[in-house]
Amino acid sequence: MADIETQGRGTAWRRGFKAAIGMPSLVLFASMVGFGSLAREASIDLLPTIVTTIGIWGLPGQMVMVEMVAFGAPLFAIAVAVSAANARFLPMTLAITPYLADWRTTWVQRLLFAQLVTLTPWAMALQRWPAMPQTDRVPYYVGFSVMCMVGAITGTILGHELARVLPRPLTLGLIFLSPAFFSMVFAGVRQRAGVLALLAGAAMGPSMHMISPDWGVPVTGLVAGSAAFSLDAYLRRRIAQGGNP
Amino acid sequence: MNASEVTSIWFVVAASVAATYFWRGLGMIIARRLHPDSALSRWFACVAYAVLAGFIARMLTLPEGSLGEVALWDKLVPLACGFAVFYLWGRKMEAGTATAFVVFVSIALWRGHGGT
Repeated sequence: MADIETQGRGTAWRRGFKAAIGMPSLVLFASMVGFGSLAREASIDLLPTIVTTIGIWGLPGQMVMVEMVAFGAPLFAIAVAVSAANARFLPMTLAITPYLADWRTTWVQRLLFAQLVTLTPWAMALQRWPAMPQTDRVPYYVGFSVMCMVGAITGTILGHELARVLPRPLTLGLIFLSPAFFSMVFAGVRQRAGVLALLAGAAMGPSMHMISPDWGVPVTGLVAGSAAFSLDAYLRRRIAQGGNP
Repeated sequence: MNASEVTSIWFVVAASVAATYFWRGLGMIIARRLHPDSALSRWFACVAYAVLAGFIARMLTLPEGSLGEVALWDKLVPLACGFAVFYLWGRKMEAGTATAFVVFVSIALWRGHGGT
C-alpha cells in the first residue's frame, strides 16, 4: 500500500512538472524578466533579487518592494505595502484548502505547501484538482510549481543581466513589461468589486504618491480598496432587496 | 552598493517575504473558519487590487520611478495599442502585453535615434 502510494506520488509529481512546461512556465519566465530588470534598475544585486522571486513568489508584491526600495522608503512602509499588494493570497489559499481536507499530513507540511500559493499554479489547481484523486493533488501541484519556479528564476536572472547590457530603450521596454502585463490582467477583470477597486486605486494612486512617497501605496490600497468593497456590498444589498442597482 | 545597503536589502527582502507569507500561512490555519467568498475575503481582494492599480497608475503616469524618464504619451500610446489588440484578439493577455512591449520599444528606439 505504501509502495503504491509512493509510486503514485512520483508520477503525479512528474505529470505536474510536465504540465507546467510550455505556457505556464513561459508566462512566469516573461513576467520575471521584467521584474529582474526592474530590480537591476533599483540597483539590487542578483542574489537578493532571486531570493525575492522565490520568497515573495507573487509579482505584485515583488514589484512594489523593488520600486519602494528605489524610492528609499522605510522598512516598515515597504512591508505594509508588499503585504497589502499580496493580500489576495489569503482568499486564494482559502479557496483551495477544501480540496486538501483529506490530506493526511503534518502542519509543517501544510505550512510549507502554503508558500507555493501563487496565481499560475493556483488557477491550475482550481481547474484540475476537483477531478484528481486526493493523493495526486499535492505532488502534482508541487511538480507544477517547481517547473514554474525554474521558469521564474531563469527569467529573473536573464532580466537582471539584460538590464545591464542592453541599450537603454530595450531595458526600459523590459521594465515596462510588468505594468503592461498587469494592465491587461486588469482589463480582463469582470467582477464588479474588482473593477471598482481597480478604478478607485488607479484614480487615487498617483495623487497619494505625491502626498507621501512612503505611505502612498498602502494608504491607496486600504482607502480605495475599502471604498470599493463598501460600494460593492451596498450594491449587493440593493440587489438582494430587489431594488434597481 | 555599499556594505550597509547590502545589509539593509536583506532586511527588506526578509520583511517582505514574511509580510507576504503571513497571508498564505493565515489562510492555511483559518481554512475551516472563513469562506473564500466571505465579506472579509472580498475586502482583502479589493485592497490588493487597489494597491496594485494605484501602484501601476503611478508608474505609468508620474515622471518619477523606474519609468520616470519616459514621457507620459510614450507609455500611454503603447498601452492603448496593447488594449486594442487585447480586445480585438479574444482577450488574449499575452498578445496585448507583447503589442504594448513592441510599440513601447519602437517609440523608445525612435526617440533615441532622433536625439534630444
